[in-house]
Amino acid sequence: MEETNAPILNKHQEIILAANEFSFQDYLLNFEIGRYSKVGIFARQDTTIHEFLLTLSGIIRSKGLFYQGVSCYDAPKYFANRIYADTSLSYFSTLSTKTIALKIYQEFHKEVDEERLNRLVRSLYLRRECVVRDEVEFTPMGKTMMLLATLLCIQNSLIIRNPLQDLNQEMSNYFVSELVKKEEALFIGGGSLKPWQGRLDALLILGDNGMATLMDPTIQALYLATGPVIFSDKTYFICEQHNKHIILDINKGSKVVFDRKHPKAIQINPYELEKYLI
Amino acid sequence: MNLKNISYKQSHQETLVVIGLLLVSLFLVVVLGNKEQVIMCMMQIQWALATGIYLFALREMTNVMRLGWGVPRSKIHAKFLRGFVWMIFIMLSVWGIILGLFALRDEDFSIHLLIWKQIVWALASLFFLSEMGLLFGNCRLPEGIPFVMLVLLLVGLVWGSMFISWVASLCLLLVGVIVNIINHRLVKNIKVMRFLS
Repeated sequence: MEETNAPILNKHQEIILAANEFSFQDYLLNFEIGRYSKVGIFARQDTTIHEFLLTLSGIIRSKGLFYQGVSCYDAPKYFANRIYADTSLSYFSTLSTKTIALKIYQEFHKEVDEERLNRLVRSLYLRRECVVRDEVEFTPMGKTMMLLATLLCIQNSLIIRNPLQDLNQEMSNYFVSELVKKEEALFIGGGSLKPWQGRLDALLILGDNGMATLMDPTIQALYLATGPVIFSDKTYFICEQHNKHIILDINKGSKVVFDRKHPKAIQINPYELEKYLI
Repeated sequence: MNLKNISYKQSHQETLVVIGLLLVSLFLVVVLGNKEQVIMCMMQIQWALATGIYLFALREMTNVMRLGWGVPRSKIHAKFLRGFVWMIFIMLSVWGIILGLFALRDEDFSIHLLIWKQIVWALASLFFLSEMGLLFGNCRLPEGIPFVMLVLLLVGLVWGSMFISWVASLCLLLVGVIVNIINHRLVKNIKVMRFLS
């Protein structure tokens, strides 16, 4: 089990989520997330991301993960201020924004900006993405669009699994830009992170052998190196089949050593990590 | 309903259940007439009810949609406990009505001790099964296992009902309370559960 050497991600914001010796599977995590932070989560396995998002949202029991000083697990205050959504699930069977807003308020006491939702439903032409029978059946893309449109109209922190599932390029770009514009914290995981490039404050990388880090992609970098693992404390993924490994951020002091040991190491895009893990 | 799976039906379901059970019980008493058969039917209704509650508890505790949108498990647990008190009230009322009708119909009617034992056993089973459903939901068991457990528990309880005694009912209630406390610890719902733990 390796401890993360993660930066504190608060940027002078109020801290809402804090991992203090947070133990998740083989990982031991320490980080702080500010109220307005946007974080992407990456792991080799989709199931790891899924489990992590459920833990982060307080649905799965955790130790060492706190929301405003209180354990996240099943905390009513946390639940009142966050939404966990999974685009693979079917949430809606109506286009009536009034009904949606009313039901969400009745069931979960969450305020939906009905006017904005109405505008979104019209401007995104959601009617074209559904079939109306005795209830509205959305196309896969319509299902995701309806969910994301609703989430945009609620002032809660969002934890979304596969947020861009089944969306086309245009819709992906639209929802990425709208979701990062939201004031509240955003956690996304699953699917490609490429559309989020340059939009996220941090990437939480859950690597191999219990290695994990919360990296700031604007000041840290990932390298793909060939040959034996030399920087074991900075090697996050090992692709044994191709004798390659992925290393995080070589600081100035060790850069010379790194260049000598890995002359052919190339800097890679952290938003396209999956490309290198085949 | 327009929000799939994340909303309860907003209707007078409880009232309809009460009226339905009363009509069924009256029907049983009037049509069947035989005291033993009526009691047997009531027991079977309660087993079906217990199964339904178990499955409902299980589903609610594992419903990621509702949990994701902001319903903590502690709230679900509290709702179940309130529901259980309400259910006991209904079932006791139905038993009371049935026995009352028998008493009115048959002049030499007397309530055998076995009937009381059966009633207590059935209610203890309801409580036990609902708590087990909540517990298995809490534990996130792999798919299929809770259903196998349900079958085993039901077989055990139905088999056990052949040897009903106060001690057996008390043991079942005790196990139910212990599971309740475990559930309580799991969901940290102190306020609602104080009277039991």
